[in-house]
Amino acid sequence: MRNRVRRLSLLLLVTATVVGTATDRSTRRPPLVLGGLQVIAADFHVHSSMWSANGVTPWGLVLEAERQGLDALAVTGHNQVLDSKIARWFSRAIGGPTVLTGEEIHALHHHIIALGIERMVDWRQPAAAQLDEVHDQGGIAIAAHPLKSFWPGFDAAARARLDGTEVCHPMIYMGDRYQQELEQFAAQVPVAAIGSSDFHGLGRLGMCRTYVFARANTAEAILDAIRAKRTVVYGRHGAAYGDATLVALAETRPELREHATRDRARSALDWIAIAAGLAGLVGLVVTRPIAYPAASPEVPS
Amino acid sequence: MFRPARVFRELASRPARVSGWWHKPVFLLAVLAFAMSVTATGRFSLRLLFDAVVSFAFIPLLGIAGLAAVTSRRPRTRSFREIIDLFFTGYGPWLVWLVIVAAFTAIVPSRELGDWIVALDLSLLVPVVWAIYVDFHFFREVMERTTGGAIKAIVLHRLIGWIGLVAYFDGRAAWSEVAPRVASWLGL
Repeated sequence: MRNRVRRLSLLLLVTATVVGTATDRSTRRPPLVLGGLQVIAADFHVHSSMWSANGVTPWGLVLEAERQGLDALAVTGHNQVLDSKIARWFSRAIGGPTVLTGEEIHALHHHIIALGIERMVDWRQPAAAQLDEVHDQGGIAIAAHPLKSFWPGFDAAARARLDGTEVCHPMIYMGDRYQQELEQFAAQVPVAAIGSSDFHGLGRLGMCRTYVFARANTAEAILDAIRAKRTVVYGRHGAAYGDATLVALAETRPELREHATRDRARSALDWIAIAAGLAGLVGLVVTRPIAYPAASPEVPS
Repeated sequence: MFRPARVFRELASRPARVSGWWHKPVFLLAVLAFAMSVTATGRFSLRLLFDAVVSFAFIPLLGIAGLAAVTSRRPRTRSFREIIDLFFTGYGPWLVWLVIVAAFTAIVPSRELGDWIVALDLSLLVPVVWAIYVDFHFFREVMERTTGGAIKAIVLHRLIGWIGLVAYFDGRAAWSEVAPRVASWLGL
Protein backbone atom coordinates (compact mmCIF):
# COMPACT_ATOMS: atom_id res chain seq x y z
CA MET A 1 0.00 0.00 0.00
CA ARG A 2 2.77 2.41 0.96
CA ASN A 3 4.64 1.72 -2.29
CA ARG A 4 1.47 2.39 -4.27
CA VAL A 5 0.96 5.75 -2.54
CA ARG A 6 4.60 6.60 -3.11
CA ARG A 7 4.42 5.82 -6.82
CA LEU A 8 1.22 7.84 -7.19
CA SER A 9 2.80 10.75 -5.28
CA LEU A 10 5.84 10.69 -7.50
CA LEU A 11 3.64 10.65 -10.60
CA LEU A 12 1.68 13.67 -9.32
CA LEU A 13 4.87 15.58 -8.57
CA VAL A 14 6.41 14.81 -11.96
CA THR A 15 3.17 15.83 -13.72
CA ALA A 16 3.03 19.09 -11.75
CA THR A 17 6.65 19.83 -12.66
CA VAL A 18 6.12 19.08 -16.36
CA VAL A 19 3.02 21.34 -16.47
CA GLY A 20 4.72 24.03 -14.36
CA THR A 21 7.78 24.00 -16.62
CA ALA A 22 5.77 24.00 -19.85
CA THR A 23 3.70 27.01 -18.76
CA ASP A 24 6.68 28.86 -17.27
CA ARG A 25 7.02 31.58 -19.88
CA SER A 26 8.36 35.08 -20.09
CA THR A 27 5.69 37.80 -19.85
CA ARG A 28 7.87 40.64 -21.08
CA ARG A 29 5.91 42.97 -23.29
CA PRO A 30 6.99 45.10 -26.24
CA PRO A 31 8.56 48.43 -25.15
CA LEU A 32 5.95 50.88 -23.88
CA VAL A 33 6.52 54.54 -24.76
CA LEU A 34 4.66 57.34 -22.97
CA GLY A 35 5.41 61.04 -23.39
CA GLY A 36 8.38 60.19 -25.59
CA LEU A 37 10.02 58.11 -22.85
CA GLN A 38 10.28 54.35 -22.51
CA VAL A 39 8.47 52.97 -19.45
CA ILE A 40 10.79 50.43 -17.79
CA ALA A 41 9.29 48.09 -15.18
CA ALA A 42 12.11 47.51 -12.70
CA ASP A 43 12.86 45.93 -9.35
CA PHE A 44 15.97 47.47 -7.78
CA HIS A 45 16.26 45.49 -4.55
CA VAL A 46 16.61 41.75 -5.13
CA HIS A 47 18.69 39.16 -3.31
CA SER A 48 20.22 35.92 -4.55
CA SER A 49 21.26 32.68 -2.92
CA MET A 50 24.89 33.76 -3.15
CA TRP A 51 25.23 34.93 0.44
CA SER A 52 22.12 37.08 0.58
CA ALA A 53 19.43 34.88 2.13
CA ASN A 54 17.47 33.63 -0.85
CA GLY A 55 16.97 30.28 -2.54
CA VAL A 56 17.20 31.61 -6.09
CA THR A 57 20.54 31.95 -7.90
CA PRO A 58 21.57 35.16 -9.72
CA TRP A 59 20.74 33.58 -13.11
CA GLY A 60 17.47 32.24 -11.69
CA LEU A 61 16.52 35.80 -10.73
CA VAL A 62 17.06 36.95 -14.31
CA LEU A 63 14.73 34.25 -15.63
CA GLU A 64 12.15 34.95 -12.93
CA ALA A 65 12.28 38.68 -13.72
CA GLU A 66 11.35 37.87 -17.32
CA ARG A 67 8.43 35.77 -16.09
CA GLN A 68 7.24 38.63 -13.88
CA GLY A 69 7.29 41.05 -16.80
CA LEU A 70 10.23 43.12 -15.57
CA ASP A 71 12.40 45.03 -18.06
CA ALA A 72 15.20 45.68 -15.56
CA LEU A 73 16.40 44.49 -12.20
CA ALA A 74 19.22 45.05 -9.78
CA VAL A 75 20.66 42.13 -7.85
CA THR A 76 21.77 43.69 -4.61
CA GLY A 77 23.89 41.37 -2.49
CA HIS A 78 24.45 42.10 1.16
CA ASN A 79 27.69 44.07 1.17
CA GLN A 80 28.95 42.46 -2.04
CA VAL A 81 28.55 42.96 -5.79
CA LEU A 82 29.65 39.59 -7.19
CA ASP A 83 26.18 38.11 -7.66
CA SER A 84 24.98 41.20 -9.53
CA LYS A 85 27.89 40.83 -11.98
CA ILE A 86 27.00 37.17 -12.53
CA ALA A 87 23.36 38.12 -13.17
CA ARG A 88 24.43 40.86 -15.60
CA TRP A 89 26.69 38.47 -17.51
CA PHE A 90 23.94 35.85 -17.72
CA SER A 91 21.28 38.31 -18.80
CA ARG A 92 23.50 39.73 -21.54
CA ALA A 93 24.20 36.17 -22.73
CA ILE A 94 20.51 35.31 -23.12
CA GLY A 95 19.27 38.76 -24.15
CA GLY A 96 17.34 39.13 -20.89
CA PRO A 97 16.30 42.19 -18.91
CA THR A 98 18.75 44.98 -18.16
CA VAL A 99 20.68 44.11 -15.01
CA LEU A 100 22.13 46.90 -12.92
CA THR A 101 25.06 45.92 -10.76
CA GLY A 102 24.87 46.96 -7.14
CA GLU A 103 24.68 45.98 -3.52
CA GLU A 104 22.67 46.54 -0.39
CA ILE A 105 25.00 48.32 1.97
CA HIS A 106 24.14 46.64 5.25
CA ALA A 107 25.19 48.85 8.13
CA LEU A 108 23.89 48.55 11.67
CA HIS A 109 21.56 51.58 11.59
CA HIS A 110 20.72 51.94 7.90
CA HIS A 111 20.52 49.98 4.69
CA ILE A 112 21.28 51.61 1.33
CA ILE A 113 20.77 50.26 -2.17
CA ALA A 114 23.73 51.25 -4.31
CA LEU A 115 23.12 50.89 -8.06
CA GLY A 116 25.50 51.18 -10.99
CA ILE A 117 28.64 50.41 -8.99
CA GLU A 118 31.36 47.87 -9.74
CA ARG A 119 33.17 47.75 -6.41
CA MET A 120 31.87 47.06 -2.93
CA VAL A 121 31.36 50.10 -0.70
CA ASP A 122 32.82 49.91 2.80
CA TRP A 123 29.83 49.63 5.20
CA ARG A 124 31.90 50.78 8.20
CA GLN A 125 31.99 54.41 6.99
CA PRO A 126 29.38 56.99 7.99
CA ALA A 127 26.31 56.95 5.69
CA ALA A 128 27.29 60.20 3.91
CA ALA A 129 30.76 58.82 3.11
CA GLN A 130 29.19 55.65 1.74
CA LEU A 131 26.95 57.73 -0.51
CA ASP A 132 29.91 59.78 -1.73
CA GLU A 133 31.70 56.56 -2.63
CA VAL A 134 28.64 55.34 -4.56
CA HIS A 135 28.52 58.62 -6.52
CA ASP A 136 32.28 58.53 -7.12
CA GLN A 137 31.74 55.19 -8.88
CA GLY A 138 29.06 56.78 -11.06
CA GLY A 139 26.21 55.12 -9.21
CA ILE A 140 23.11 56.22 -7.37
CA ALA A 141 21.88 55.52 -3.84
CA ILE A 142 18.42 54.59 -2.58
CA ALA A 143 17.29 54.47 1.06
CA ALA A 144 16.21 50.84 1.62
CA HIS A 145 12.98 50.32 3.60
CA PRO A 146 13.51 53.51 5.65
CA LEU A 147 11.08 52.74 8.46
CA LYS A 148 11.21 54.89 11.59
CA SER A 149 13.79 52.61 13.22
CA PHE A 150 16.21 53.41 10.36
CA TRP A 151 15.71 57.19 10.33
CA PRO A 152 18.52 57.96 12.79
CA GLY A 153 20.90 56.17 10.41
CA PHE A 154 20.30 58.88 7.81
CA ASP A 155 21.65 62.17 9.18
CA ALA A 156 21.18 65.46 7.29
CA ALA A 157 24.37 64.95 5.27
CA ALA A 158 23.21 61.50 4.17
CA ARG A 159 19.69 62.64 3.32
CA ALA A 160 21.10 65.39 1.13
CA ARG A 161 23.04 62.80 -0.87
CA LEU A 162 20.27 60.27 -1.54
CA ASP A 163 18.91 59.80 -5.08
CA GLY A 164 15.86 57.71 -4.23
CA THR A 165 13.85 56.23 -1.39
CA GLU A 166 11.66 53.15 -1.24
CA VAL A 167 7.99 54.05 -0.88
CA CYS A 168 6.81 50.58 -1.82
CA HIS A 169 8.28 47.59 -0.01
CA PRO A 170 6.49 44.30 0.83
CA MET A 171 6.28 45.46 4.44
CA ILE A 172 3.57 47.94 3.47
CA TYR A 173 1.24 45.00 3.02
CA MET A 174 1.65 44.17 6.72
CA GLY A 175 -0.20 47.33 7.74
CA ASP A 176 -0.89 51.00 6.99
CA ARG A 177 1.69 52.05 9.60
CA TYR A 178 4.55 50.81 7.40
CA GLN A 179 3.30 52.64 4.32
CA GLN A 180 2.91 55.82 6.39
CA GLU A 181 6.47 55.60 7.74
CA LEU A 182 7.90 55.20 4.23
CA GLU A 183 5.78 58.16 3.07
CA GLN A 184 6.94 60.31 6.00
CA PHE A 185 10.58 59.64 5.17
CA ALA A 186 9.96 60.39 1.50
CA ALA A 187 8.34 63.70 2.48
CA GLN A 188 11.57 64.71 4.25
CA VAL A 189 13.78 63.64 1.34
CA PRO A 190 12.54 64.92 -2.03
CA VAL A 191 14.11 62.26 -4.24
CA ALA A 192 12.87 59.65 -6.73
CA ALA A 193 10.10 57.33 -5.52
CA ILE A 194 11.20 53.71 -5.67
CA GLY A 195 9.26 50.46 -5.33
CA SER A 196 11.26 47.28 -4.64
CA SER A 197 10.41 43.76 -3.58
CA ASP A 198 13.48 43.13 -1.38
CA PHE A 199 13.01 39.62 -2.73
CA HIS A 200 14.24 36.90 -0.39
CA GLY A 201 12.23 34.02 -1.86
CA LEU A 202 8.91 34.75 -0.21
CA GLY A 203 6.24 36.69 -2.09
CA ARG A 204 6.93 37.59 -5.70
CA LEU A 205 9.79 39.25 -7.50
CA GLY A 206 8.52 42.65 -8.63
CA MET A 207 5.55 42.68 -6.25
CA CYS A 208 6.71 46.22 -5.49
CA ARG A 209 8.17 47.71 -8.65
CA THR A 210 9.32 51.02 -10.09
CA TYR A 211 8.21 52.36 -13.45
CA VAL A 212 11.18 54.32 -14.72
CA PHE A 213 10.60 56.78 -17.56
CA ALA A 214 13.92 56.49 -19.35
CA ARG A 215 15.30 57.50 -22.73
CA ALA A 216 16.29 53.85 -23.36
CA ASN A 217 16.39 50.52 -21.58
CA THR A 218 20.05 50.70 -20.61
CA ALA A 219 21.68 50.85 -17.20
CA GLU A 220 22.97 54.37 -17.84
CA ALA A 221 19.61 55.70 -19.04
CA ILE A 222 17.84 54.14 -16.05
CA LEU A 223 20.30 55.72 -13.60
CA ASP A 224 19.88 59.10 -15.33
CA ALA A 225 16.08 58.82 -15.06
CA ILE A 226 16.28 58.09 -11.33
CA ARG A 227 18.59 61.07 -10.82
CA ALA A 228 15.98 63.18 -12.66
CA LYS A 229 13.17 61.66 -10.47
CA ARG A 230 11.35 60.26 -13.50
CA THR A 231 9.68 57.38 -11.67
CA VAL A 232 6.18 56.21 -10.77
CA VAL A 233 5.40 53.70 -8.01
CA TYR A 234 2.12 52.13 -6.87
CA GLY A 235 1.87 51.36 -3.15
CA ARG A 236 -0.69 50.09 -0.65
CA HIS A 237 -4.30 50.39 -1.86
CA GLY A 238 -2.93 51.35 -5.29
CA ALA A 239 -1.79 54.85 -4.22
CA ALA A 240 0.56 56.42 -6.80
CA TYR A 241 3.87 58.13 -5.95
CA GLY A 242 6.33 60.05 -8.06
CA ASP A 243 6.38 62.88 -10.56
CA ALA A 244 2.78 64.18 -10.92
CA THR A 245 2.97 64.52 -14.72
CA LEU A 246 4.31 61.01 -15.10
CA VAL A 247 1.71 59.64 -12.68
CA ALA A 248 -0.99 61.16 -14.91
CA LEU A 249 0.66 59.61 -17.97
CA ALA A 250 0.86 56.22 -16.28
CA GLU A 251 -2.84 56.38 -15.42
CA THR A 252 -3.59 56.22 -19.14
CA ARG A 253 -2.33 52.63 -19.08
CA PRO A 254 -4.32 50.79 -16.37
CA GLU A 255 -2.24 47.63 -16.81
CA LEU A 256 0.72 49.39 -15.16
CA ARG A 257 -1.18 49.74 -11.88
CA GLU A 258 -2.59 46.23 -12.19
CA HIS A 259 0.83 44.59 -12.69
CA ALA A 260 2.22 46.55 -9.75
CA THR A 261 -0.56 45.73 -7.31
CA ARG A 262 -1.85 42.26 -8.19
CA ASP A 263 -0.33 38.81 -8.63
CA ARG A 264 -0.28 37.44 -12.13
CA ALA A 265 -3.57 35.56 -12.66
CA ARG A 266 -3.38 31.77 -12.58
CA SER A 267 -5.20 29.53 -15.00
CA ALA A 268 -7.20 26.44 -14.02
CA LEU A 269 -4.28 24.36 -15.29
CA ASP A 270 -1.89 26.24 -12.98
CA TRP A 271 -4.11 25.49 -9.98
CA ILE A 272 -4.44 21.82 -10.92
CA ALA A 273 -0.66 21.53 -11.28
CA ILE A 274 -0.09 23.18 -7.90
CA ALA A 275 -2.65 20.95 -6.19
CA ALA A 276 -1.17 17.85 -7.81
CA GLY A 277 2.38 18.84 -6.85
CA LEU A 278 1.45 19.57 -3.26
CA ALA A 279 -0.47 16.31 -2.97
CA GLY A 280 2.56 14.51 -4.37
CA LEU A 281 4.87 16.19 -1.87
CA VAL A 282 2.58 15.30 1.03
CA GLY A 283 2.37 11.71 -0.18
CA LEU A 284 6.15 11.35 -0.46
CA VAL A 285 6.84 12.94 2.92
CA VAL A 286 4.16 10.92 4.70
CA THR A 287 5.20 7.60 3.22
CA ARG A 288 8.89 8.13 3.74
CA PRO A 289 10.41 9.96 6.65
CA ILE A 290 7.49 9.74 9.07
CA ALA A 291 6.79 6.03 8.72
CA TYR A 292 10.32 4.95 7.92
CA PRO A 293 12.30 3.62 9.73
CA ALA A 294 9.71 2.11 12.09
CA ALA A 295 9.18 -1.51 11.04
CA SER A 296 9.58 -0.44 7.43
CA PRO A 297 10.09 -3.13 4.79
CA GLU A 298 13.00 -0.95 3.58
CA VAL A 299 14.92 -1.69 6.74
CA PRO A 300 16.72 -4.98 6.28
CA SER A 301 16.01 -7.48 9.01
CA MET B 1 9.21 10.87 14.58
CA PHE B 2 6.52 10.42 17.18
CA ARG B 3 8.17 7.69 19.27
CA PRO B 4 11.84 8.13 18.43
CA ALA B 5 13.19 6.31 21.49
CA ARG B 6 11.44 3.07 20.58
CA VAL B 7 12.25 3.38 16.86
CA PHE B 8 15.93 4.17 17.34
CA ARG B 9 16.26 1.37 19.92
CA GLU B 10 14.78 -1.07 17.43
CA LEU B 11 16.98 0.17 14.59
CA ALA B 12 20.09 0.14 16.72
CA SER B 13 19.53 -3.54 17.40
CA ARG B 14 19.48 -4.39 13.68
CA PRO B 15 22.47 -5.10 11.44
CA ALA B 16 24.15 -2.12 9.83
CA ARG B 17 22.66 -0.70 6.64
CA VAL B 18 25.24 1.12 4.58
CA SER B 19 23.84 1.06 1.05
CA GLY B 20 21.54 3.97 0.22
CA TRP B 21 22.93 6.06 3.10
CA TRP B 22 22.58 9.13 0.88
CA HIS B 23 18.84 8.65 0.24
CA LYS B 24 17.60 10.76 3.14
CA PRO B 25 20.00 13.71 2.61
CA VAL B 26 19.03 13.77 -1.08
CA PHE B 27 15.35 13.48 -0.20
CA LEU B 28 15.70 16.44 2.18
CA LEU B 29 17.32 18.45 -0.63
CA ALA B 30 14.56 17.46 -3.06
CA VAL B 31 11.78 18.53 -0.69
CA LEU B 32 13.62 21.80 -0.03
CA ALA B 33 13.84 22.39 -3.77
CA PHE B 34 10.16 21.68 -4.46
CA ALA B 35 9.10 23.83 -1.51
CA MET B 36 11.38 26.68 -2.61
CA SER B 37 10.10 26.53 -6.18
CA VAL B 38 6.48 26.94 -5.14
CA THR B 39 7.20 29.46 -2.37
CA ALA B 40 9.27 31.77 -4.56
CA THR B 41 7.19 31.64 -7.71
CA GLY B 42 3.92 29.81 -7.05
CA ARG B 43 4.73 26.89 -9.34
CA PHE B 44 6.79 23.73 -9.72
CA SER B 45 9.28 24.45 -12.44
CA LEU B 46 12.45 22.59 -13.45
CA ARG B 47 14.53 25.75 -13.65
CA LEU B 48 13.64 26.63 -10.06
CA LEU B 49 14.20 23.09 -8.83
CA PHE B 50 17.69 23.23 -10.30
CA ASP B 51 18.18 26.66 -8.74
CA ALA B 52 17.10 25.51 -5.31
CA VAL B 53 19.24 22.37 -5.45
CA VAL B 54 22.28 24.55 -6.17
CA SER B 55 21.27 27.04 -3.48
CA PHE B 56 20.43 24.57 -0.72
CA ALA B 57 22.93 21.76 -1.29
CA PHE B 58 24.88 23.18 1.61
CA ILE B 59 22.13 22.29 4.10
CA PRO B 60 22.47 18.49 4.02
CA LEU B 61 26.24 18.93 3.65
CA LEU B 62 26.31 21.08 6.79
CA GLY B 63 24.17 18.49 8.57
CA ILE B 64 26.67 15.77 7.65
CA ALA B 65 29.66 17.94 8.58
CA GLY B 66 28.11 18.73 11.96
CA LEU B 67 27.37 15.05 12.47
CA ALA B 68 30.97 14.14 11.69
CA ALA B 69 32.13 16.63 14.29
CA VAL B 70 29.94 15.24 17.06
CA THR B 71 30.25 11.53 16.29
CA SER B 72 34.00 11.09 16.13
CA ARG B 73 33.48 8.86 19.18
CA ARG B 74 30.93 6.29 18.08
CA PRO B 75 30.06 2.65 18.78
CA ARG B 76 32.39 0.31 16.89
CA THR B 77 29.45 -1.51 15.34
CA ARG B 78 28.25 1.64 13.55
CA SER B 79 29.76 2.99 10.36
CA PHE B 80 29.47 6.72 9.62
CA ARG B 81 27.29 5.97 6.59
CA GLU B 82 24.79 4.15 8.76
CA ILE B 83 24.86 6.98 11.26
CA ILE B 84 24.07 9.48 8.50
CA ASP B 85 21.10 7.38 7.39
CA LEU B 86 19.71 7.14 10.91
CA PHE B 87 20.43 10.74 11.86
CA PHE B 88 18.59 12.22 8.89
CA THR B 89 15.39 10.70 10.28
CA GLY B 90 15.51 13.74 12.58
CA TYR B 91 14.83 16.04 9.61
CA GLY B 92 11.31 14.63 9.31
CA PRO B 93 9.72 17.53 11.26
CA TRP B 94 11.40 19.99 8.88
CA LEU B 95 9.99 18.16 5.86
CA VAL B 96 6.47 18.37 7.27
CA TRP B 97 6.91 22.07 8.04
CA LEU B 98 8.32 22.79 4.57
CA VAL B 99 5.38 21.12 2.85
CA ILE B 100 2.85 23.02 5.00
CA VAL B 101 4.59 26.35 4.32
CA ALA B 102 4.83 25.57 0.59
CA ALA B 103 1.11 24.81 0.45
CA PHE B 104 0.28 27.95 2.40
CA THR B 105 2.37 30.28 0.25
CA ALA B 106 1.04 28.67 -2.94
CA ILE B 107 -2.53 29.46 -1.97
CA VAL B 108 -2.29 32.86 -0.24
CA PRO B 109 -1.77 35.86 -2.59
CA SER B 110 1.72 37.35 -2.19
CA ARG B 111 0.47 40.69 -0.85
CA GLU B 112 -1.48 38.96 1.91
CA LEU B 113 1.47 36.91 3.12
CA GLY B 114 2.60 39.87 5.23
CA ASP B 115 -0.35 39.28 7.57
CA TRP B 116 1.02 35.82 8.30
CA ILE B 117 4.74 36.50 8.63
CA VAL B 118 4.72 36.47 12.44
CA ALA B 119 2.72 33.24 12.51
CA LEU B 120 5.09 31.68 9.96
CA ASP B 121 8.10 32.74 12.01
CA LEU B 122 6.58 31.37 15.21
CA SER B 123 5.68 28.12 13.47
CA LEU B 124 9.42 27.53 13.06
CA LEU B 125 9.52 26.64 16.75
CA VAL B 126 7.62 23.41 16.07
CA PRO B 127 10.22 21.75 13.78
CA VAL B 128 13.08 23.23 15.81
CA VAL B 129 11.86 21.66 19.07
CA TRP B 130 10.52 18.50 17.46
CA ALA B 131 13.80 17.82 15.63
CA ILE B 132 15.74 18.33 18.87
CA TYR B 133 13.48 15.78 20.55
CA VAL B 134 14.13 13.24 17.77
CA ASP B 135 17.88 13.92 17.73
CA PHE B 136 18.10 13.59 21.50
CA HIS B 137 16.84 10.03 21.22
CA PHE B 138 19.15 9.39 18.28
CA PHE B 139 22.17 10.27 20.39
CA ARG B 140 20.84 8.33 23.38
CA GLU B 141 19.85 5.12 21.59
CA VAL B 142 22.10 4.93 18.54
CA MET B 143 25.20 6.73 19.76
CA GLU B 144 24.82 5.40 23.30
CA ARG B 145 25.39 8.80 24.88
CA THR B 146 24.35 9.80 28.38
CA THR B 147 21.62 12.44 28.73
CA GLY B 148 24.28 15.14 29.21
CA GLY B 149 26.32 13.79 26.32
CA ALA B 150 23.29 13.79 24.02
CA ILE B 151 22.48 17.38 24.93
CA LYS B 152 26.09 18.46 24.34
CA ALA B 153 26.12 16.73 20.95
CA ILE B 154 22.88 18.44 19.90
CA VAL B 155 24.12 21.86 21.02
CA LEU B 156 27.38 21.44 19.11
CA HIS B 157 25.62 20.10 16.02
CA ARG B 158 23.18 23.00 16.01
CA LEU B 159 25.96 25.53 16.56
CA ILE B 160 27.82 24.22 13.52
CA GLY B 161 24.63 24.09 11.46
CA TRP B 162 23.17 27.47 12.38
CA ILE B 163 26.44 29.37 12.25
CA GLY B 164 27.09 27.82 8.85
CA LEU B 165 23.59 28.74 7.71
CA VAL B 166 23.90 32.37 8.83
CA ALA B 167 27.39 32.67 7.30
CA TYR B 168 26.19 31.26 3.96
CA PHE B 169 22.94 33.18 3.78
CA ASP B 170 24.07 36.50 5.18
CA GLY B 171 27.63 36.50 3.93
CA ARG B 172 29.40 39.71 4.78
CA ALA B 173 26.21 41.17 6.23
CA ALA B 174 26.43 38.61 9.02
CA TRP B 175 29.62 40.34 10.06
CA SER B 176 28.32 43.90 9.62
CA GLU B 177 24.99 43.33 11.31
CA VAL B 178 25.13 40.30 13.57
CA ALA B 179 28.61 40.78 15.04
CA PRO B 180 27.97 44.31 16.43
CA ARG B 181 24.68 43.14 17.97
CA VAL B 182 26.30 40.13 19.61
CA ALA B 183 29.12 42.37 20.90
CA SER B 184 26.51 44.78 22.28
CA TRP B 185 24.62 41.97 24.05
CA LEU B 186 27.86 40.79 25.56
CA GLY B 187 28.58 44.34 26.75
CA LEU B 188 31.74 44.61 24.64
